[in-house]
Amino acid sequence: MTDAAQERSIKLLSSDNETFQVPRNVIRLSNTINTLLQDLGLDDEEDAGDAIPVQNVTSTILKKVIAWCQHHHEDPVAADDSDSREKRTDDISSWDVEFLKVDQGTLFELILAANYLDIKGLLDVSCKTVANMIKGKSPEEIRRTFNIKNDFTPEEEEQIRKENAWCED
Amino acid sequence: MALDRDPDDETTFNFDDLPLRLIEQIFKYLKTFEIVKMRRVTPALKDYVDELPKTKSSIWSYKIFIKDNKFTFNQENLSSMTYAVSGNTYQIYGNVQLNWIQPRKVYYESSNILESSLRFQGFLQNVQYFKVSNIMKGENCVKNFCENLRFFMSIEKFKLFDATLSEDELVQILSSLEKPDHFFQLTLDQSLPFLTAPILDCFFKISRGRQTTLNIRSENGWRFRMSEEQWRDGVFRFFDYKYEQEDDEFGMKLLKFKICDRKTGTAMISAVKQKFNNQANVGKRGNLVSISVGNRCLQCYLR
Repeated sequence: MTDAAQERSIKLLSSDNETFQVPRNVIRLSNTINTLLQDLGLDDEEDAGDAIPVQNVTSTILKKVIAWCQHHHEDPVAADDSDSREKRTDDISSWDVEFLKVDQGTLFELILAANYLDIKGLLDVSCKTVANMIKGKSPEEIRRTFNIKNDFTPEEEEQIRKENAWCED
Repeated sequence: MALDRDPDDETTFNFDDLPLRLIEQIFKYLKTFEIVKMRRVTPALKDYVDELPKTKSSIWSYKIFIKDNKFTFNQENLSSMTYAVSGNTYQIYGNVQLNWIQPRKVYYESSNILESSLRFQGFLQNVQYFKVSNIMKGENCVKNFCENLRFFMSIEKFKLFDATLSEDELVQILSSLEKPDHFFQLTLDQSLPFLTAPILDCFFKISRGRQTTLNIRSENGWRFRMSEEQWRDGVFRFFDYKYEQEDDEFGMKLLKFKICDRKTGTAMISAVKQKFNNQANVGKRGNLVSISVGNRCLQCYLR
């Protein structure tokens, strides 16, 4: 990406037809957008022209995603985390903690958006937040936390409880 | 940092609508027992967790805590296992291969190895679960426990790929062996499920009066030696475990013997051939002799 490309803006069109002007160096955190611009040969264009449709993301969520990218766009590139490394969930920055204090529907949509736009940092921190909502809770508390209806029959529940006994005693 | 639901929040985080890849993304931040716990949340999550073995990448780094004399552990790959001591918490590290199709259980009890009560519960293919109580604290004890854990893991693995010679058959074969003329050493590979008390009694009986050591070696290279004296004293009397018999899922079952005495090995081969009315196929490559009967194979190393 050239310096000129870094300085220019990209237009994104949400699924509910709202347009967002985003600095190129901010939205660089989205691999999906990067690939799209490169594949279409638009990365070095002065004016990218039409807004890029982000069909799976509503304006409310897209606004949040852009805000996250805005805050993190100067972060150093995260080291590749190998599967063998321990996955921590207690290292979420205070800014991200505040950022993710949202209703569960929004959190759900943010994960989907981060996945669709391939923004690794946002996906990681959102998933960690959900993991933290699960940790330390009993299955019943998890259901309550996520407002999940218990679809198991008592027999099924008993069977699974037995199978899980090794880790829940 | 366990977050509670905002009582005014009427929106939902619907796991069932989340692509599997993203569930896995969330699960990678959970410890194994927390993932297993998710099996109890919804049928869909149970199905998902049960399908995890199909995702080849589902190997998590796993940390085990021994705290307050309670220990929960599951681990597949012991070769990379290390441990660390921090305050009163012992941490054992290793890789975990999640794989919990076909639940099954192994029950084990011993009162000798760690001078403590130990319960071993195996459950599910390729994953072992241990519950240990009354572990004596101390670095050496943890080290010993790790050593023994390797052994138990071996048992579990061997149970999957075990030999099909029954206890009676093995006793008969051992009983038929001639007494070796000199130092007698038998190393049993992948045959630990068959090292039951009658077999060991038989083994030591035939070699009585000689300096006898039984070497047991696991796939991971861990080994220990057991003398007759130790066996008689009950130091290593930990072979009387119970388990549910598994179906033969693997076709070929293998029992390997490495015998450091040609005469003994030859006798054993003869005994096996005789046992199976000369139906056995015998192949020889160097000092390694393989005898197969049906889908069973016995290998002898003759020195």
